[in-house]
Amino acid sequence: MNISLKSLKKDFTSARGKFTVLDSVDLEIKEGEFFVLLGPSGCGKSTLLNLLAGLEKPSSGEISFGGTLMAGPGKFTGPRGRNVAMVFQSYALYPHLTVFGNIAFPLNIAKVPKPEIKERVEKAAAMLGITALLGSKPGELSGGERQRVAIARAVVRRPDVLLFDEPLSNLDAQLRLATRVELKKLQRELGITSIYVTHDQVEAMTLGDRVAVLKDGKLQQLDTPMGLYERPANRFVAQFIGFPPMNLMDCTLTEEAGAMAAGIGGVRLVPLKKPGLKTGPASIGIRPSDIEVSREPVPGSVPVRIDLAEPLGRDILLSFSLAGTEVSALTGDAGLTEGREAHARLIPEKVHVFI
Amino acid sequence: MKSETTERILLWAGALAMAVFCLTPFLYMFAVSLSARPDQIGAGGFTPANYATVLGTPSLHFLDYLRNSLIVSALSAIITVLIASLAAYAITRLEMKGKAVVLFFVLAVSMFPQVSLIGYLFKLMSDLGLINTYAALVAPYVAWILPLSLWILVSYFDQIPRELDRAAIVDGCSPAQVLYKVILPVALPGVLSTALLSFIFAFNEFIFALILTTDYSARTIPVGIAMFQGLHGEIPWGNIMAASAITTAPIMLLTAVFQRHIIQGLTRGAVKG
Amino acid sequence: MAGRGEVVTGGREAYFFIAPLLLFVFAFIVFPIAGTFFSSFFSDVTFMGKKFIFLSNYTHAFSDPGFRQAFGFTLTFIAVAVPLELFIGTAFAVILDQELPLRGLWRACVLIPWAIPSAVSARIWQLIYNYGYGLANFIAVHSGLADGPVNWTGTASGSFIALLAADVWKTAPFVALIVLAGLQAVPSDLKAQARVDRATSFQVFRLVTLPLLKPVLTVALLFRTIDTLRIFDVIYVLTGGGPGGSTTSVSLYAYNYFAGGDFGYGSAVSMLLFMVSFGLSWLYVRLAGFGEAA
Repeated sequence: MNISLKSLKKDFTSARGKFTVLDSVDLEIKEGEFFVLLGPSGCGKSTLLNLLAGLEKPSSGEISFGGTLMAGPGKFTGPRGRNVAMVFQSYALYPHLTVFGNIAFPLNIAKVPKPEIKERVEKAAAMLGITALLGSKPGELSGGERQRVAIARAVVRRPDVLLFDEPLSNLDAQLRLATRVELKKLQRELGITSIYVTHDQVEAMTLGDRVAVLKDGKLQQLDTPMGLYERPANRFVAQFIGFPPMNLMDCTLTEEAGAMAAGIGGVRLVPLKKPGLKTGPASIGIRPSDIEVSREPVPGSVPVRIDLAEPLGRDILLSFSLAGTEVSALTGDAGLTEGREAHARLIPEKVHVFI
Repeated sequence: MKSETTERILLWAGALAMAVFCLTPFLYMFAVSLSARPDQIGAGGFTPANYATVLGTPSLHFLDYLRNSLIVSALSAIITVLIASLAAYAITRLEMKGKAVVLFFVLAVSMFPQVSLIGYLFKLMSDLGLINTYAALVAPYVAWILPLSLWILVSYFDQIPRELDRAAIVDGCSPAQVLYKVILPVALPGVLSTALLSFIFAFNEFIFALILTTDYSARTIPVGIAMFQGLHGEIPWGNIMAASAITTAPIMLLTAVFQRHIIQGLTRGAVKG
Repeated sequence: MAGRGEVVTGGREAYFFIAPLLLFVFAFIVFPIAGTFFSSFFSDVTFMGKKFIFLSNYTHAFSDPGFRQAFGFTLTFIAVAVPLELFIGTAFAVILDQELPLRGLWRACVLIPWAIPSAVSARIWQLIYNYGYGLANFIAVHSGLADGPVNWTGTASGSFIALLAADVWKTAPFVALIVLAGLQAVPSDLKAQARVDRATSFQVFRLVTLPLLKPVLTVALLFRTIDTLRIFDVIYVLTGGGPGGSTTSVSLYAYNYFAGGDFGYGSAVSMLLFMVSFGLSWLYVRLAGFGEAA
């Protein structure tokens, strides 16, 4: 089922006055897509998920499922009228029911005949490998097992839309990785349109067919994971996506003999090849992996002194001051130790310019 | 450490004094109830005669009072918990203006002196022809116990994570289904202790029962025991103590078994603010 | 309470859920109060017809020695009983808060006086105060505290003391439970820190625990004051308000008029009690609401 959001807006009124959580969000989510909403806490991504579930009403704007208006001027269909299922951060398993009871719950509410409930619950349990747990209570399960029960409860209804609210954030790192892979596989098999909320950019990049980055209730960028990485639309997205985060430097753009270049305080840092740039103040961004650090000077390099060298395993993360700005760079050269003089070159093709 | 030993001794002395203070009247009650004469406790051995009299003399109506009390208290407790659950659900979960007003209004109401209601209630129940019926007691009891139940249930419901009812709503529950399929079963221990407290409150109520009942067809145990007159002139202390013992023993047992729930419920209702 | 993140379920549904509660509270508490208020402006004695007399019942009350006595007794009783309840209740709470084997049993001990009907316990106390063979005189005489048996319920001071013991016995446990909850809310780190600072147990209690208990004690004080203001059951059973009306509380005084068929004057007296109680309740709600408002 494809989903369409038109100038969706959500305001809240609290004791401290009115504030806008979501501001004019337009989105088209395609049939069968794994769609990720990414942003820091308080960016409005959970509110957006609740609006999609029908748990909250938009202040203005429209939500349509498969061409049918679910929420809009004068119209609001609650969760019972939308065939959506949701997996919560805390899993929200009913503690008084067994695993079977939990998975069967939405089917019981929908008054599905008992034999069919049994069959569907067993099938969902088998799919998630929790058949042995059907008789247990949620309190007796581990975090990973609870997670699977929550997913089974969501898929057993064959929903049109699956909503995930940071479902992996309560798992430990190793389990998170494994579950991520399985979740992606499961979604592919079922082909259900899925919307996944997270603040973890790695999750977003690995899971999403497309990722929408939100900040302060506004949509920052909507693109494929690689698109976000390679063509960040603004400083926020640039720093939010990728690890270690992109270096951002305030600098001045100058023009010499028809060629643009970026510099800081008279130090010429890098020539710029992008067309349509104007001289004046701007920021440039460059990923740590796009700064070459060498022992000997090379053309276009700037001398630096290494402040910190943190081994990350295969790479070493260097920190140094580049024309007065603290930057980090990745290198494979273990000889670049703390206190050493070295030379850094920004790869011109990899420089992002933000006005 | 010398001071620690002193502290231990003081603690035990205090604890024993406390137990003596709390339990002596009951021990005395049992002793008298088992004696042939109240002025000679245990003289000539103990006897169940008083219990036999109280239970076996229909004209004393002790069993009528007991039955009335049990029925009235149970009905009051059940109705109170039902109504309070609905309200507590609305207050903790639904969008509604004036929640705090309802909570504090109800708290203030529970502080009213009962005597300022009895004149009107007596006339109302007389007009309705309900004097000396269970209905005349249950209706005001429910109103009277509701504030406490509401406060206790609100504090229990408040502890249930909101994600659970969001899950239930997404799973297709109506608000009423969220309440009886999720909130009530999850809060079951809290609901039971609220019911137990409501029962105790109704069971102990005195002044409404005093003015709204006239004889054994609706009179409850507290009034019955307060008015207990012997078949012959002298106050039949042995009988009264036997009746008191039969009345209080189950409550003592309940209290001992459910002390944790009762304390939890009571302190939540009272200290919450 | 309302606001962000609340699930949408229409406002009308909420009122439907809360309606039964309001229905009961209005029908059987608020309307009766209003009715009593209304009646208090009438001369309304059974078989004598109703007559509007406006404030006469109230002006009569202020010059009525019986009412003055009942009011004076009630206030005196509060002034003596409530501090005693708080003191004994706090002491119990401190004991219950300690590491004692069979904790539950000790708590049940304290809970039992609270849990049984006061009309029933009042009867037990009545026997305890029996002149000829009651437990009180048995102890008083055999321990040598008194030269001879004391006529507990026959004298004004004896009755007062008898009521005091019966009431404190019944209500101190309630205070104990509230204070116990307050004690358990005192962070143990704080007490441990005071210990490390070499404070004695008593110093820890006086300098750390007690100041933190102040809000709980204030609530208990107000609650007990409001509750004692309407004291009825124990007095009705134990002394009947005697001798000579010396232990008649305002509640009992009003009740006697209702029971005698004088609804007008009974209403006026109970409204006066209601107003005092309402003022205190308002204070209580303000204090209780203080923590809630945040």
